[in-house]
Amino acid sequence: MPRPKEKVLEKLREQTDFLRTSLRGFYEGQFAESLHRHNHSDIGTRDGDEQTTAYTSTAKRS
Amino acid sequence: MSKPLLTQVQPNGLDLQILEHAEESKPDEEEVFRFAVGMRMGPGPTLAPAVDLGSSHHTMSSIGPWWNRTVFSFRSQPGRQLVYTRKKVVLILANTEGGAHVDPNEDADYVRLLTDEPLTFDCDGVKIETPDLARFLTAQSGVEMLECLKRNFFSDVDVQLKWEFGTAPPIATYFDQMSGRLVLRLACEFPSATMVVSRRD
Repeated sequence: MPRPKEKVLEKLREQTDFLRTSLRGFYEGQFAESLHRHNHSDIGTRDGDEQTTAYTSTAKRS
Repeated sequence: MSKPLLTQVQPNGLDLQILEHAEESKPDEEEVFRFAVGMRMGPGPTLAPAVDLGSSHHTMSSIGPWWNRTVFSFRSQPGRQLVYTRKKVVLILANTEGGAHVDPNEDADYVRLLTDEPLTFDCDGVKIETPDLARFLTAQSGVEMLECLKRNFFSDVDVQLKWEFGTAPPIATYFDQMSGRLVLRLACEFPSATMVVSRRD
């Protein structure tokens, strides 16, 4: 049986608030982890280039 | 079987209006790479996620096409052209790095997203660490979806048009997309390359 529309809207509202809170956290600084690079030296070697790309992080979490 | 909340609220949920950055390449252009994600360069040698829904590059679309839009396109190390839709990027990230269900194995496509990016950035000769564009894009998609929910259901929700890290610095460069294209012209014997950086107005 489908849920009443009011209940579904209530759930959607919850998800909307959760999304807004998560986004605020991200743009307030948690995005710093986006700059984090794990060490992928085993797969970071580029074709035709002997240099291994280092993905070691220098970013700091705020 | 679970069903998306949007389509439970509204059967035509995928037709709901949503803002997106949607600049497709033209038929006579061969796209070498494209990353349709908003960023700020500065202050100094830093890159940060930055979305401006009021930018003239954002136009009205609907959720279905928005979800399936190509957002990243680039050549992989072996020379294959890799194409990622928004749906693919968001689901890869959700399945590998967050949420209640985390795949214990690395997703090969996601590893490619992290390691095959052809772009490097520098500012006044100082190299900038390449950002994880998948995360930037996913957050940007969240902003676009939030505005969509406000527009269509919850007008009282406070959703600003500009989202960026920290306070906007006095000097910085903002852009919504970076792409490189080969333009084939009938009158020209050789194709010419075009580099497009969609800067904000």
